[in-house]
Amino acid sequence: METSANTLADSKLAGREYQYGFTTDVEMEALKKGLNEDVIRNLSAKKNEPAFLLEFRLKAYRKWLTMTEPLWAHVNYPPIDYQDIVYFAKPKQKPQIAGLDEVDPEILRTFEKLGIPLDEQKKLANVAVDAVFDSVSVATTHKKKLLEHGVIFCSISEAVQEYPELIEQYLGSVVPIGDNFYAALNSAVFTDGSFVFIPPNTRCPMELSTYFRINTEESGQFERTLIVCSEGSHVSYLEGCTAPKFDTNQLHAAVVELVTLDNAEIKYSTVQNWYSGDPVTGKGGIYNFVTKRGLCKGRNSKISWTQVETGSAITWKYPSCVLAGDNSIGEFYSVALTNGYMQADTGTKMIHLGKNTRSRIVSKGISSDKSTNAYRGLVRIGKNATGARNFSQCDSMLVGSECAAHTFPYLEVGNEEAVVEHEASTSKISEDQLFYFESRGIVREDAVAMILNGFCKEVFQQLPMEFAVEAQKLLTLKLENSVG
Amino acid sequence: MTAILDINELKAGLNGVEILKGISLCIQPGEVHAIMGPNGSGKSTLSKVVAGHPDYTVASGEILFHGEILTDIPPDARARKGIFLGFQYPVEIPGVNNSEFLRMAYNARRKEKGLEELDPFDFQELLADKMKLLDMDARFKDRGVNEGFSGGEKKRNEILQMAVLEPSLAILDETDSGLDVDALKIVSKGINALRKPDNAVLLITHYQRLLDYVQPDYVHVLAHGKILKSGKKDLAREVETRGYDWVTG
Amino acid sequence: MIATTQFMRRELTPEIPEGLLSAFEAIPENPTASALRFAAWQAFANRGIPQTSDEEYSFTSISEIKNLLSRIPGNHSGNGFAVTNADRLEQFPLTSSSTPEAMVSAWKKIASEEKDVASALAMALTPQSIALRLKAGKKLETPFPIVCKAKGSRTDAAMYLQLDAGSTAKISLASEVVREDYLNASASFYLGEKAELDLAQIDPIAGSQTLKLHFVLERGAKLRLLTASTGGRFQRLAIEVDLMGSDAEVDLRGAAVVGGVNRCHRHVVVRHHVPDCISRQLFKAVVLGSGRSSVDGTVIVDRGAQRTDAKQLLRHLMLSKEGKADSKPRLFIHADDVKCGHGATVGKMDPEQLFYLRSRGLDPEAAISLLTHAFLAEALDASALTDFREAARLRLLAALEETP
Repeated sequence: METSANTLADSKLAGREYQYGFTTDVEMEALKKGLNEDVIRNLSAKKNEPAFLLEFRLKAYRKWLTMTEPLWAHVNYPPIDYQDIVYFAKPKQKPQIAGLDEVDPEILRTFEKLGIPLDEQKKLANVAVDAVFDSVSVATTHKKKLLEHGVIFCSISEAVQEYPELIEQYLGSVVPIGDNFYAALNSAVFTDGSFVFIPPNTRCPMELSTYFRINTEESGQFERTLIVCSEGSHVSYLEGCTAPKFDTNQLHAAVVELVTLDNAEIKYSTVQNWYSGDPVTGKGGIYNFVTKRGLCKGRNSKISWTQVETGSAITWKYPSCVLAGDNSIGEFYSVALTNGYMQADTGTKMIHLGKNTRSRIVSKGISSDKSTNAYRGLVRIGKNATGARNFSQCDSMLVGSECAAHTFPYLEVGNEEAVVEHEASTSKISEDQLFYFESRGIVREDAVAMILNGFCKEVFQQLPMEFAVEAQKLLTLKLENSVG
Repeated sequence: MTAILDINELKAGLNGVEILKGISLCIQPGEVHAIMGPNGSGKSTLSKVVAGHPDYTVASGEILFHGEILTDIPPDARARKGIFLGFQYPVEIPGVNNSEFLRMAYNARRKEKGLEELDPFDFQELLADKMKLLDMDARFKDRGVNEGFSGGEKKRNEILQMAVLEPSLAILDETDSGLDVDALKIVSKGINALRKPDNAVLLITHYQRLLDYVQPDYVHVLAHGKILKSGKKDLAREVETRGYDWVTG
Repeated sequence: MIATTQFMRRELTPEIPEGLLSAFEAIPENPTASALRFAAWQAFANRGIPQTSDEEYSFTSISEIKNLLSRIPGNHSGNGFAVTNADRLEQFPLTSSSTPEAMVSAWKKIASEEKDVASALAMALTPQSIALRLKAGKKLETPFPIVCKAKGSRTDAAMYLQLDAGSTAKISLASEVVREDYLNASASFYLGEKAELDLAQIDPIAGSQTLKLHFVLERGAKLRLLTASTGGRFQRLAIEVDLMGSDAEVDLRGAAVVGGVNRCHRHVVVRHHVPDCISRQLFKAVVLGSGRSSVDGTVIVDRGAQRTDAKQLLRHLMLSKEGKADSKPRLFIHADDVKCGHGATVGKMDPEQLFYLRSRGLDPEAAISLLTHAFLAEALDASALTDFREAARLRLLAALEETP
C-alpha cells in the first residue's frame, strides 16, 4: 500500500495531482474475496440482519447470476472478475461504537485531511455528516439534534436494527433488485450507507451529508442510500466521494433510492471526485457504476438531483426521477468533467407518469486531454401523463483536440398533450476569448476559471454555497494544465 | 344607440388567481378610450379576456359587444364579429405566409358579413394600399407571420392587420412599447386614419406618450384589477406628472 | 481486482436464415456482379439478422424487421431500379462487362463496409443491380426520375450512381410497393469534386420498405435531399452521409405525416471525416391516429475534422392521443473547433400561435390546418425538384385529411 503524506498531496495540487490519493493504515477486518450464497449469508449474519433482508439479498444475488453486464454505455474497460473482489471490509474494532472517541483516530484524521471534521468540537456547524469508510459507516454527527425534530439520519446498518419496518417498506421500492446488473449486485452485497427519514411537515433543520471513502485496495464499495421524505417535508442532502490512488481499479456500485410523498421535496447534491487513474498512463481509478433514482410518489412532490462529477476512471450513472404523482417535478443539474483517460457516460431519466408533471435537465459536459464525456438521457412521457413538460439543455465544452464529447438524448412521447424540448450545443475555450481576457489584464488561469464558471453557472447555482465554491475550485484545478 | 363594448362588473383570472376584480367600462361608437396603469395592474388580462383567450376564465360579470353577451363565444368568432386585439407580444409563426394569412383572416370576416371572398389578386391591391399608409416595405408580405421581425416591425404588422380587417373595436395592448419616435408617429397615423364614427378604439398603455399622437376621449386608470379613476384626456397628463401612486395611493 | 483475461464478452452468433443463403446461392454467377454480391453477403453474414440489443433499432419493432428480412426473396422480372430516358445518364447493368472497373470497385467497397444489415442484404440478393454515371461537368437541368418496382412478397434491389467532378443533377426516387409486399432497397451515390445533387425521395404509399440511401461527398460537393413519407405497414429509411472532402455541404430534410396504424422510421448518420464541411438535418413529422414515427439522427465529427458546422433539428407534432413519437438526436464529437448543435421537440400545437390565428377570425380547423402546413413547409420548401415536391406535399396533406 502506498502512503503519501499530507504535504505531498498539497505540494502537487497545482500540478493537478489527485489531492486525496493517500491511504490510511488501519487494521481491517474483511471477508475473503469472491461471491456466493455463503458469503452473503455470512455477511448478513455478521451484521445481525433480520430474515427479510437476507431474503432480499439472496433474491438479488440469484437474479444477478442470470444477468449480464450492460454493454451499451459509451465506455470501454476490460471485463471485471466479480470473484476477485472483497465484498466486505471494515475497520477492526468493537461491534458497536458508542461515541466518536471510540472511532479509530487514524480514520478521524483521514476525514479531517479530507476536510470533513467528525470531531464533536470541530464538526461543521450546519451540516450533519455520515462518514462511510470502505464498507462501513464510521460516524454520524448531529444525530441527537436531528432526532429532536423527528429526523432520522443514521447508517443504513443501524436503521436495519432500529427501524426495520421502514427499511422493509422502502428498500428496493424505487430500484427493484433486478433493475440492472449493478443494482442487483448491490442489492445482494451492500454493506452500509445512509438512511434518512423526514417525518411529515418538517423542514430538515440542517444539510445532511454523507462522505464516502474507499480505502482498501481490493475492496469494492457497495453502499446503499435510502431517503424518505414524508408529506409536506423538505430535505437537502449532500454526498462527497474520494479514494486513494492505486494502480488497480476499484469498483463502486452504489444504489441510491429517494421517495417523496405529497408536497415533499428532496434536493440531492453530489460532488464526486473519486481517483480517476493516472492522468498520463490511464492506469487505476474507480469504476463508478451507480444507480440513483427518485420516486415522486406524492402529488406536487419534487426531486432535484445536482451533480458535479470530476473523478472516477469510468462513470456510469443516470440519476433519475419517476414522476408518478400528479404535478410532481423532477430536475437534473449536472457538471461532468473528464480529463486524462477518464470516460464518463452520465445523464438522467425522466419518466413522466402523472398528469402535469414537469422535468428540467441541464447538463454541462467538459472534456479535455484524451477523455470521453457522454451525456445520455431519456425523457419518456407515458400515455396518461397529460400536460407533461420537459426541457433539456445539454452543452458540451471541448478543451484540446484529442478528447470527445457525445450527446445521446432519447425522447419517447406517447401523449399528445405533452411538450418535450431538447437543445444541445458545443463550444470550446477559444484563444480569442482568452486573449480578450488577457488584454483586459486578467491572467490566463483566472480567464479559464471565469469561462468555466460561466459555462457551469446554472448548475453551480443549485449547490449549497460552500459546495459551489468547492466545485468551482475543483474544476479550475483539474483543467489548469489542459488549457493553453 | 347600443354601445360597442359594455363591460359590467367583470371578474376574471388565470389559473384560479383573480386578476380583474370588478371592472365596468362602456365604449360608444366613435370613441377612443385609453386604459393606463402600472405593470401588473391587469391591463393585458383585460384585453385577453375581451378577445377570448382560452387560458383566462370569467368568474362573474359580463361583456357585451354590440349588445351581445360574449362569454361563451370562441375567440375566432369574436374576431369575425369585429373585435381586434393588437398583441403586446405578437407570436412568431414561421412557415405561415404573412399575406396568405391576412387574406384568410380578411375573407373569414367578409364571409361573416355576408360579403363575397376577395380573390388573391384584388386582395394584393388592397394590401398594397394599406401598406403604403403604414410605410411598410413590400417584402413584409412574403415573410412568415412576424417571423424574424423586430419589435417595431411586429407592432406595425399588427396595425396593418387592423387596417385590413377594419374591426369595429380595436384593442391595442401596449402598441407603443418598443417603438422609437418615428415608428410611433407612423403607427399613430395608422390608428388615426382608421378612426371612424362607427368604430371604437381601446388603447392600453403604460405611458402617456402614445396619447400625444392619438387623442383619447376618455382615460381610465387601472390598478390592482380595478378602474380607480376615469376622466377626460387631461387625466393622462396628470398621471404622467404625478405618477401612479397619486391614484393608487 | 480487475483481471483483464478472465471473461470474454459474450459474442452473439450472427443469425443467418437458411432461406436467405439458398436465395443468395441461387442467383447465377457473373464476373462483375458476383464480386459486389459476395462482398455484400459477407458484410451481412458478419452481423446477421438484427438482434434486440442493437442500438440502431431502439425505436423499431425488432420482430417486424426480423420477419421482413427473413422473407424469402422472389425473383420477378421487371422488379428493381429502372430509369427511363437513360440516354441522359450512362447506364450499366452490373452484369455487363462494360461497367467501368473503378465504379465496380467503389461500389464493392461500399458493400463490404456496409453495417446496415438490410442494405447489405439488398446488395447481396438483388438479381439485377444497375450502375449509373453522369460524366464530368455534365449538367442535368430537368429532373431525372428513378423508379423502383417491387412486385411479390419480397424484392431486393440495389443501385449506384456516380456523379463525376463538376456535374450536377436533379433526381427523384420513388418506389412502387403494394399492401402486403416488401421492398428492401439500397441506393448509393458518389458525388465527385464539386458535383451537386438535388435528390427527392418519397416512400411508397402502402406496403413495407427498408431503404438505404448512402452518399459519399468529395471536396466541394453539395447534396440536397428531401424525403417525404406517409408511412406504411413498416417503413424504415436509413440515410448515411460520408463527408470525405473539405468544403462539402449536405442538407437533409424530411417531411412526414404518419396516421392510421402506419409506421415511419428514419435513421440518419452524417459523418464529418474531414475539416470545413457543413451539414444540416431537419426532420419533421406529424403524428395522427395510432401512427408511430421515430427519428434517430446522428452526427459524427471525426478527430481532426475541425471547423465542422453541423446542425440537427428533429421535430414532431403530435395531433392524437394514440400516436407515438420518438426521437434520438445524437452527437459524437472528437474535434474541439466545431460548431455543433442539435435540438429535438415533441409536442402539441403551440396554443399561443393557435390563439393568434383565432383572434384574427380563423376557425379552429382552419387555424390547425394552417399551422400544420406551416410546420411541414419548412422541410418541404427547400427542394429544387418543384413538381415532385408539390406532389409530395399534396400526398402529405391528403394524409392529414384522411385521419380525423
